[in-house]
Amino acid sequence: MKSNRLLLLAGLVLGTSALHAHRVWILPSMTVLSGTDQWVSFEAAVSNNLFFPNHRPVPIEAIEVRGPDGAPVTVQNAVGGQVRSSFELQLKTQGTYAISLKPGIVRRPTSPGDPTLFGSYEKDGKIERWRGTPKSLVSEGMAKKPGFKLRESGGRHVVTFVTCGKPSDTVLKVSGKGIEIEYLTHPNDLFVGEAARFRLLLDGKPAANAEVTVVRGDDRYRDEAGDVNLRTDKAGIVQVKWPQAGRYWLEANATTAGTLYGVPTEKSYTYIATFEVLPD
Amino acid sequence: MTSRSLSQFTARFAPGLVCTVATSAAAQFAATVEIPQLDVSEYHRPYVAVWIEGPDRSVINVGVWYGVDMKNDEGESWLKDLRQWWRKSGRDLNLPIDGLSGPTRPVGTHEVRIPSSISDKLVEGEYAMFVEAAREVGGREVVRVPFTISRNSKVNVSVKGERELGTVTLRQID
Repeated sequence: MKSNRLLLLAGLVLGTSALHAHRVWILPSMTVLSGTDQWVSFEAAVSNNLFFPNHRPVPIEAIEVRGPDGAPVTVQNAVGGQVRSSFELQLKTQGTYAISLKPGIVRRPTSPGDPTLFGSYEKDGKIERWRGTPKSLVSEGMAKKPGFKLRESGGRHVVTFVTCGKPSDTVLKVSGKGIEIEYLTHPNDLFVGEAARFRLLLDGKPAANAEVTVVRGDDRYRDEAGDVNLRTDKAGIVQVKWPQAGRYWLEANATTAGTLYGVPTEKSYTYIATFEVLPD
Repeated sequence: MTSRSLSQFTARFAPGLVCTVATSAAAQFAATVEIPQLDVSEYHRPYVAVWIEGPDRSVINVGVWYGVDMKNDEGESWLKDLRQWWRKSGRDLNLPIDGLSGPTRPVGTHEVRIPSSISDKLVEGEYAMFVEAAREVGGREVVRVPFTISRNSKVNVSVKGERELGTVTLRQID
């Protein structure tokens, strides 16, 4: 289930408010490997179903990879397709790799001089949505509307992980900037029936009471996708118990308050990750 | 015991030795693992890992049978399919390890050597021997064989697998 807030967030991130059902993901063919010089293939897309490319690709140039030592790794056999991008990665070093989208590149830019703004205010006890520009913000006197807030995108982090050999932590280190997950459980050490613990961070501080949605893949074969809606606790920690083995999509949303054009804003941050959960 | 010291220890013994004569009074053990005949169109010998977990769940590796002689160490790329073993121990090892690594085995019942370097560690308490098998284009199965080391009785346990493994036994022989 998606709230209106998420709908608006998706509108900001993707440039249109009609895309709320679309989910962005990077999906590895395998996440746990052994041996040397192993290959993994990936697909990356924005789709209606997990994990079936059926809408738009993620631009192949948006993909970036860091190896177990933290240094960039070049993707191979990259193809930017019509509904999905694909690429392969050779795991020449043992340890954990992070595959992510470069920040910002997927967002459809609005005109810098006249950006589209999204906001909300209260009217007769209900939340009214507003959409406009910096000019109409002033001309319509939005600042005086009760409870008026602009929605602002703080950015989105989209990532997945693969490990050859022993899981390592270098690519999991948090930077203290933007939205991040501190992996109290390693993202390539997830097993059915076990609870994984992730701490959501915003600018390095625990993001308490933040929304976390977990969806198992193959939702095309179910009447209901069966999203599991969770919230982080006071310490920013969410505990995820995987009901069955499979590939999962996780989205976490956190917000901060700020100001823009002289009005209050709610700045939204999104963290999206794809995980594989193995049977015990 | 680390895998390295296990390797150094077992390297001193002749291959195929089922049990060793210990100078201490510790018990000696013999284990068997049965690889069943399967009626399938494409058959590959299973990869098999055998290990013992003590009361503290620590892993004592007994053996791992895989494509140890394949070119470019290709056999190692399938070790992750021994999922439980890979997670508990395999991914921490630098294979091959003398006395631990061995080639895949054909259909039949195979003796598994439990060297005294291992049996000496089996003091009184609750243990389990695990045998995990994974077969290319086939299935996977883990058989858990619980056993108790005590002064009063000798270990003599047997568990039958359902698909990928036949009967697994562990017997105290002294």
